[in-house]
Amino acid sequence: MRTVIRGFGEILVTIGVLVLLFVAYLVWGTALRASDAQHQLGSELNGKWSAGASAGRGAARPDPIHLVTGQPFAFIRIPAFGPHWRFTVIEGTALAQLNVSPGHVPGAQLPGQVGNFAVAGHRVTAGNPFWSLPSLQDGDLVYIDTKVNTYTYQVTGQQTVLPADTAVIDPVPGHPGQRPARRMITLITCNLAWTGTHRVIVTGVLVAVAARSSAVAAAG
Amino acid sequence: MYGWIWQRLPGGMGGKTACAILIAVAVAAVLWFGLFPWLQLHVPVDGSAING
Repeated sequence: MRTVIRGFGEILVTIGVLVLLFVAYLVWGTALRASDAQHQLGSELNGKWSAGASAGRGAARPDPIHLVTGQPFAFIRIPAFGPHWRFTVIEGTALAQLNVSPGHVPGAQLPGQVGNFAVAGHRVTAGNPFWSLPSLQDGDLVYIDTKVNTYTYQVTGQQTVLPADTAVIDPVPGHPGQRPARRMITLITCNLAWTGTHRVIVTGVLVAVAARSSAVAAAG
Repeated sequence: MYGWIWQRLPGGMGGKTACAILIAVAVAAVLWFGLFPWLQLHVPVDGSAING
């Protein structure tokens, strides 16, 4: 009897240790993996762009973007999160993508297009890319660097919605079926942190487009 | 359970301790690099996407 109770206790302690180890992995392990992935995706993107050697100055140019699931096509920079805050944007918002980088919602518009450029990112784990999203204020700037252009969006609003509220990623956010006239951006992350119960949505509108002037250097 | 394993580890006190640490590190590595990355893909601890 004593052996059985002791064995049961040992199993409980073991489960406790395993759960703690998994939490440690979520906090530190995923951050390390995402950081490695960001360095790799970032240099891959800059490498691809410099091969084309199309960075320049002056007016915006047509932007050839080819979307491949899991592949990077842009950088996102938000100065309100700090001067060195920079992540890649890859195609797709499944966990396999969000665990390495913020992702573009498949089917949503591309940077600068009329409609809604929707990007989702983890609030916690994977380097906590969108940890500070709820702190963005109206007027804060969001920069999207693509191969040829830099798009400047200005934050216009924030709301909390349910995960199934797909209207927020429609071409006219919140108004499914309407024909878009404005060039919007929508940033999505979870709320509260560590849960999947709600989403924080930050919307912004395009205020400027210019040719991208140099490589996006600051490490994320 | 752990007593049973401890009795079967080779060597004296030092050998058993070294062996136990080695096994613990090996198990932790398998979990950290193998099981946990897989588990994270199936346990949405941080739901961030919009899906209807």
